[in-house]
Amino acid sequence: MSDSKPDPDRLLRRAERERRARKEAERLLEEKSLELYEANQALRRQAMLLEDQVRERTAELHAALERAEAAASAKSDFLAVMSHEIRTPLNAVIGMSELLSLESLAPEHQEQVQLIHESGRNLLALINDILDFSKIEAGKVQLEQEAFDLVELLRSTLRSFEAQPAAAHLRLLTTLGTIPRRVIGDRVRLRQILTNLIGNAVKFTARGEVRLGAEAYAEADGWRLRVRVEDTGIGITPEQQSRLFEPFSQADASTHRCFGGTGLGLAICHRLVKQMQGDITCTSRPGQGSVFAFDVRLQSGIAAAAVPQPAVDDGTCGCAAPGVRVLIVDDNPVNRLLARRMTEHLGHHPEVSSSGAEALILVQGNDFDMILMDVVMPEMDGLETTRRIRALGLPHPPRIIALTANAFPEDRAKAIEAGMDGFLSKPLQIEQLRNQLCSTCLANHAPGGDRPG
Amino acid sequence: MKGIVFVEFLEMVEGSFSADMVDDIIDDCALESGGAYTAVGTYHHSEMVALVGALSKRTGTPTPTLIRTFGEYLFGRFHSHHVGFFDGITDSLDFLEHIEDVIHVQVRKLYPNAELPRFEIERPNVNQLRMVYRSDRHMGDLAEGLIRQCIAHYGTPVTVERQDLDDRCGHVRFNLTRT
Repeated sequence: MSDSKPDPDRLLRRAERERRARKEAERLLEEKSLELYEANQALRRQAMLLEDQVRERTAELHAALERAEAAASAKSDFLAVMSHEIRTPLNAVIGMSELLSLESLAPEHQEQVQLIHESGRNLLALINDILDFSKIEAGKVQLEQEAFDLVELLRSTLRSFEAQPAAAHLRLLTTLGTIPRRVIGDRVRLRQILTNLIGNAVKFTARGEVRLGAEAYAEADGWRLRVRVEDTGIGITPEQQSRLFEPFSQADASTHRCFGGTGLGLAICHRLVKQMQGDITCTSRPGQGSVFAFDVRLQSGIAAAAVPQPAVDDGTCGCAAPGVRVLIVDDNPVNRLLARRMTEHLGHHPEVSSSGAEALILVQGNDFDMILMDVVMPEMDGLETTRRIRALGLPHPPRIIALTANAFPEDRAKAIEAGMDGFLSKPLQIEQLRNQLCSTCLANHAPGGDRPG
Repeated sequence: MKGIVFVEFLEMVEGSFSADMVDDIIDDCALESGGAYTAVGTYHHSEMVALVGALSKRTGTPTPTLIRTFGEYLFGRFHSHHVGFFDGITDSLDFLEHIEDVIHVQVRKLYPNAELPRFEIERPNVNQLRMVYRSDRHMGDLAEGLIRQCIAHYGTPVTVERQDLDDRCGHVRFNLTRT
């Protein structure tokens, strides 16, 4: 082969080789391009499929959420209605049995009436717990921000147990550390937590002591209140402790048989404490007593501000002057009957009215000393009726006492604003009614009272 | 075997000998591909064995020497094509130590179905490296050429002691010691 002049045949074969190599490369390139394209398409389809799935799943979740919300809303509406529907006849059972127990009955019958009365009260407590828990679960509990005396709250809550037969053999003690007197928070709900824990301690302690300890620590803009309720009672096993704050879980089934209760008290406490930005814990050993400790956040109260106390008159009086003229305004005939009977039993003069409109006419033609006003009534409610009565500017304005199922602070504030003077909670209890009647009586006879005796 | 190896081999033959030599050795072998190689293709390993054999016959140089020389050539090409693989590595033993977990990983990204040899690597100390080559392609000589050129590339003197663990260049131990 000459170096200077390559063989044409050889060159042709080289060119042919190069051409084939190029074709092969192009074929491979095409193959790879197709593969890439297909992989790309597959990815795109996958992405679209995933997007569809996400959309579908989101829509499903959305629908499920809507269904759940509708169900929750239906549930709370149902509860609100049931609350009223159940409580009304129950109030009649409790009130009437109380009234009946005041009659001279054979001991056997007296016992039966007492049983009816107690069962009614237990059933009412159960219903109230369930409704309260539902309300908390539904996030419908708004905490109040009112100023109150914390020391007084702690002491009076414990004191309220002293009269209970269950606490007769117990020492009820308080150990208070540094506690601010004036704080801002939800007094009613805090008392509810304390009452629950102390109530449990009393219930599960046969002898020894129940000790309420409390101490407050300054925090930004307020206080961290730590409370301990210690008892020397039967105690709680570790596995029982793990379920303690769950709803409807009493320590065990036998607890219910021995001690009653709904199993909701601690669940309610737990939720309330959480809502007050705190926590609740329990340490206990069977036979060694229990310690329930919780902490909540409270705001600092303005030291100089007077603490507004609800205008509830619960002082007893030995008033022996009957003859208070009472107007009972309630749309429910059983409630009217109950209030009327109780008033009569106490030696006063009741009139009844089934609506706010009727009451408005009656107050203008009669001279009532006191009105028992149902708050929840159709057409014109108790608040509106009260406002209109006040607007009449009667020469001798009657005391108006609200009848409410729940005397929560918001209800009280509204009632005061409408011009009411006091509250009686349903079911009407004869002792409380007596106190209200006595107050009216005293006001009538007070020197400088604007009314002749 | 990847087409890039064939293309590089024929370019080396053309550069070291002549374009005619390329034609001749292709003509000497009855190749399925007809010698029309493209870097992105894949061809049977026996075609490489045949081409090297033909070159050896025509030049009188022993096959192992030719393959080792090709290995040395291939390292240079590898370096100029994939200079990024060498980033931050300043020593031949360091480079070779990571042949499996760095270089071969990168090669597989470019050639997903490449059949790469396996190296068992031991680094008893900073101055020593033991590499055990295993491959069904029996290219122990190619590995030696690559290793030697790598050492030459970095410049630091390293002695290479080769121990054949079979008689077909498919299982070879290289003991590298920095001097």
